[in-house]
Amino acid sequence: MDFSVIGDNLPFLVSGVQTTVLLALASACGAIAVGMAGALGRLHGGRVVNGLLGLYIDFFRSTPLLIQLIWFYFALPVLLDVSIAPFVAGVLALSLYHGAYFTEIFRAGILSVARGQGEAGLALGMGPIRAFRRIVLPQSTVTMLPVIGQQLVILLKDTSLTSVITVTELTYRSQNLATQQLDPVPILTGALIVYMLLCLPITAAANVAYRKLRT
Amino acid sequence: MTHAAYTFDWSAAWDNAGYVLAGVKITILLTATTMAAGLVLGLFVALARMSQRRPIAWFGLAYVEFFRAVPLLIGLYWIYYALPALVPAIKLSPFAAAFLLFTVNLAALNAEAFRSGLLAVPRGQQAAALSLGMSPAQAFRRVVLPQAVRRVLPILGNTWVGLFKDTAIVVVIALADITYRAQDVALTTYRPLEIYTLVLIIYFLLTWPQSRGLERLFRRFRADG
Repeated sequence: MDFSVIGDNLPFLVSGVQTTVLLALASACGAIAVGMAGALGRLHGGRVVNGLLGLYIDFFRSTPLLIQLIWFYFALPVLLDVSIAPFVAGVLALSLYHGAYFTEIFRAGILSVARGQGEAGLALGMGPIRAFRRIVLPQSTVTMLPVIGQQLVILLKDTSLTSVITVTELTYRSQNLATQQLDPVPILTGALIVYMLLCLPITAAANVAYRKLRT
Repeated sequence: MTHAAYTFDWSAAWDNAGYVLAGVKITILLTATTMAAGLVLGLFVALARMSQRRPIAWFGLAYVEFFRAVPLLIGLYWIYYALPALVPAIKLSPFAAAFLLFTVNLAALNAEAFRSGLLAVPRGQQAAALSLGMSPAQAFRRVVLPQAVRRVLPILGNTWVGLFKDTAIVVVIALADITYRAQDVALTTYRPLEIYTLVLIIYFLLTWPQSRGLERLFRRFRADG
């Protein structure tokens, strides 16, 4: 098999990998922020907020991410009468879709820390926010690490779907190059391997951190 | 800066709702056939993974880790475009390519579900069955397996719902599912907002009752402890 087509188009493909990584990082930050806000809202926001967040979670988890991406790219601009760049639509959809999953992950993680821990912080004179940040959050984060790692791997893989809304990331560039060069085997195999290599450090980091920090 | 509020016109979405909804046949057919094949293949992978022979167990592990790291979309492109280029004897229809991709991917997920279910049954259960005079095969079939199944079924339920949604990617190889038909209608009617909103609602109405129903069902016969 001849892999020279990859070498000949290396800058083009590497640029796609960069976009994939950037997209994954931005969406991971967005999803984690949404998830944390969502979990706190569900636990401490009262019944109305809890109910609304429940609807949000059910809706985003019951519809395909691909359709959400398409909706944010093709439908939302019509509604708002603005143009939305593919990358931005991608970050929005990925953040909200995975934010729904992170909300439930964080909620379960926070609930898994014994109530007495937070109360002990309050008894020591900490405010509720400080007790959460210093005592509940660190403990729950450790127990959640493996699940967070799994979810981030799924998020990274899901970035490939943004190729459908023309984000010029790895899948988009690989598929276009494969069609244009009529040489799909080396290009698509190469892309497959790159995705695997990108997944590895996420799983490894989550597992190592979990083992080190677990008490 | 003020924008004129968008004037919704649902007639295009409404007129084509039947055409779009008919795409659900592909979704259901693909979900059902790949789940069936993925269960069988997944059982073999799980057995390989738990094999006493090192190379076989290693193969099972490599299979699971490989398919868990491959994005479905790039996998679909690979099977549809690269596989026939690599092996000229193979000619795949879009449906066959999608079936193959989801089956090999599901097998990895299901294998892990089977394994975790079997490992979660306390060892004492098997020992107790053996001490009652059952043969190892009897102990497995009558004592271990029923308990494992109760743990595995909820995971398989989640996998089913995930698969149902994931099949939407077949639009990229021109299988006429809901998404493909919606794109078609959106392009000809210039009403993407109404059409894609309709698709989101269709998917929600199809998926949400499934996940809720399965949740209810499995809560009933959940394994205690």
